[in-house]
Amino acid sequence: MVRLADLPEWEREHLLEKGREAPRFTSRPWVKGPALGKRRVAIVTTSGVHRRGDRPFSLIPDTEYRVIPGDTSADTLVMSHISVNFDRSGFQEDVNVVFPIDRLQELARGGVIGSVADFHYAFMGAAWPPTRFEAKARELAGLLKKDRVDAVLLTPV
Amino acid sequence: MREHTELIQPPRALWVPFMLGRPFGAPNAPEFQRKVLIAVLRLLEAGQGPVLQDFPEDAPAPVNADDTEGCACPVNLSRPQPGADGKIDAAQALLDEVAQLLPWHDLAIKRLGRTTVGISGLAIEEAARYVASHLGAAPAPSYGTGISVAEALKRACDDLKAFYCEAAAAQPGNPAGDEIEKWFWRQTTAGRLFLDLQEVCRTSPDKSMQMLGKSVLVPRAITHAT
Repeated sequence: MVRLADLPEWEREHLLEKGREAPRFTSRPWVKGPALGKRRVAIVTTSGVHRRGDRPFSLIPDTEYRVIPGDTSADTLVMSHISVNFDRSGFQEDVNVVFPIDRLQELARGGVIGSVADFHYAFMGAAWPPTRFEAKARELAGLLKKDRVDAVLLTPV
Repeated sequence: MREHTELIQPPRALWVPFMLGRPFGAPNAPEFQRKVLIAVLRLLEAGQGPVLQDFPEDAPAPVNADDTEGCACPVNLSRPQPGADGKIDAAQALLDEVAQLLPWHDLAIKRLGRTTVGISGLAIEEAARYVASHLGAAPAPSYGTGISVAEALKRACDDLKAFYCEAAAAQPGNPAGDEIEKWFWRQTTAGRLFLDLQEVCRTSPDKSMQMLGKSVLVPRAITHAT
């Protein structure tokens, strides 16, 4: 997201440093699946959203996730990401700018995708380095398979 | 960031040129959001990868966005007045400001059918009192079992900030998010108190409070500007 050229130098450097520290992968896994119109899609977000009343994400970043059932109304979602360095006004106006649950359900009704998963998942993506998430990612992969999901939409902030 | 994606090379990625915090472009723009969503889902049909595709459009500008300089907030928030001792009561100043914004926040809830305020579980006045107490001689203890003081403070601050931003967004002129952000930090008592609180946290012996003061209370853009 966002063009580096649009950012002030100190912000650009901060973000580039994150890139330099980011993990590299030695393999390039590639998996094909059914046509989009037959896919069952789940959202996995690192935006720190969750249902009102769920435990907010911790000030000390961990790799725990929150579960967002597929029938959750977008209007009940809040955000407890610890970072103050991204725009929240868009989310305050419309959850779908971060967590496009209404759009996904519309695509399912219109036959563009097959169906929407019964469960979606939210992390708070401040834990560093990102490799800390591996165990939870593997756990989630098993849960997504049980939900017959064959397409995952990853949304950051 | 496109640069990070080039390095990590996930199987399929759509780069979008939108501001951080808005991966689907713009709020209340369902057609545009749908276009972004379909563009990313279509990557599932790619024959080989890794695929890194650029979304070709910028986010649509907000409808009726006021293009005058500065946030055109019609509520001219009154400046806090010193008491008989010549000092400003932080709690009272914050409560006065919250009271001025309450009608706008009520309107925001009616308009949106929701609010994102509520992380702390406190009423907004309680959140204001809690935050202000940490600027005085007798900071309040945590309001939740198993929640550290720093955690409690962060949640109360997040609720206050969300309350202010939602109230400002409900006002005429449809002020843009970055204008509301400038207004909060430059023109409100809450913004000034948050900056004071940042200093309190930085000098606290509590490591979690130090972390709060260092990086998760005030945006880098504000810290760099002051």
